Amino acid sequence: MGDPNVSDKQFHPAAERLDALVEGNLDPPERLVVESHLAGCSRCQTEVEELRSLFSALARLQYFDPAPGFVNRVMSQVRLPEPWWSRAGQLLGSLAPRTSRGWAFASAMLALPLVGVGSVMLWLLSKPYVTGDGLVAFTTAQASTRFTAAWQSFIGLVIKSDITLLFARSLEAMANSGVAGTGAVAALFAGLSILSGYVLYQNLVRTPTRRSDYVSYSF
Amino acid sequence: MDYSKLTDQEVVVLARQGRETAFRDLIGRYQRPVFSLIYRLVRDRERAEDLSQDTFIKVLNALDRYDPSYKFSSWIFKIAHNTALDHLRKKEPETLSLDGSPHAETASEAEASMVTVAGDEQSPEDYTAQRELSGVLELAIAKLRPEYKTAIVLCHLEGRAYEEIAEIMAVPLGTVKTYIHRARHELRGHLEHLRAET
Repeated sequence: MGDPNVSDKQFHPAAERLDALVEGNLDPPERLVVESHLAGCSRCQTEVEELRSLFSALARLQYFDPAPGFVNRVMSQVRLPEPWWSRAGQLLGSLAPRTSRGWAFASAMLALPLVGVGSVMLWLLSKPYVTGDGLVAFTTAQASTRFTAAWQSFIGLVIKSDITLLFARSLEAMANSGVAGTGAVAALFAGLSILSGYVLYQNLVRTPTRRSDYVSYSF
Repeated sequence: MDYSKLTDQEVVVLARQGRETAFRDLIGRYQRPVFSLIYRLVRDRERAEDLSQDTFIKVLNALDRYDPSYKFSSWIFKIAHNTALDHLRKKEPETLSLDGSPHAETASEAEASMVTVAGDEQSPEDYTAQRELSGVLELAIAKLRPEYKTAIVLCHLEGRAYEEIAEIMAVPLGTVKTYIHRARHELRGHLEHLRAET
């Protein structure tokens, strides 16, 4: 069996070997063998010289540029990925109820805690030893203390950015603002209760006849 | 943001987050190599522009499916090569006259399958392309089969390793070595012939 890298008849190195020599891809022992052959073979020397001149010509290959405005033309047809907040909005939208029963259930779930909290408040205020101011002061102080502690711990552990701290301070100030702050919170609750009642009325009492009559809100 | 210090993979991560500037940077990095490869394959500037555009649109719209363990440059060259080959296959009857049958195994088979074009009716686009590719070497490259062109361009212009070229062209390593060896052999023949003519 002869060496597969050597031609049969004249024992010249195979053409691929000469390629590899010019590319510099031969191992030192192989290179030694091929170079020693080259020293005494004018045919292979010519072959290698021609290869070298081809390599130097190929090394001068040029790049071509597309016409100006290529980047803009491509960008006009590329779909940029949507930012996370947009995807989150779509996800929430996909979770919104699609039927009147679904909306009724969601509204009831929203309204029930509000009604429950409101009832407890009324019951407490009906007691002779509980005054409105006292209840507000107690609730505010408790809520403020617990909320501030929990919030600061959360901020300390997870987010330490200046913006978050500023936001926390604002909430803290609102919670500590006494009757005015509580009033704002109560107004928010009242607004949500009215909205819930309206949605319930639309979906349970009033029978919709056309699709456009459905009340749909994305919370 | 200075993208020049970032690797392709890092820019891809930013692009996946929806940053338009990252998309533009990726196009900027590869527009010349991709266009140069496709232009040499199709030899028509307008078509090369369209196919390069198609390549980038395919790549950038599929960034979320890109596997970062794979070299980004290999991925984009692979898509560019396939896009150009698809185009050439669709218009095979026309290209046959220039390159011979793409199924030819040897240079003589390819030469035998060439169709001689009567007359010298070149469109203005072809004429412009011809002028731009007027160097003797470019003319010699233009006579190669598309597979040989891609292998030669990736090897000598892009400096890619044989293994990477095999990955890009989806052929075994041995086939790439054969392509490049035969391409060089044909180039030497074409160059001698062209030099003798000029």
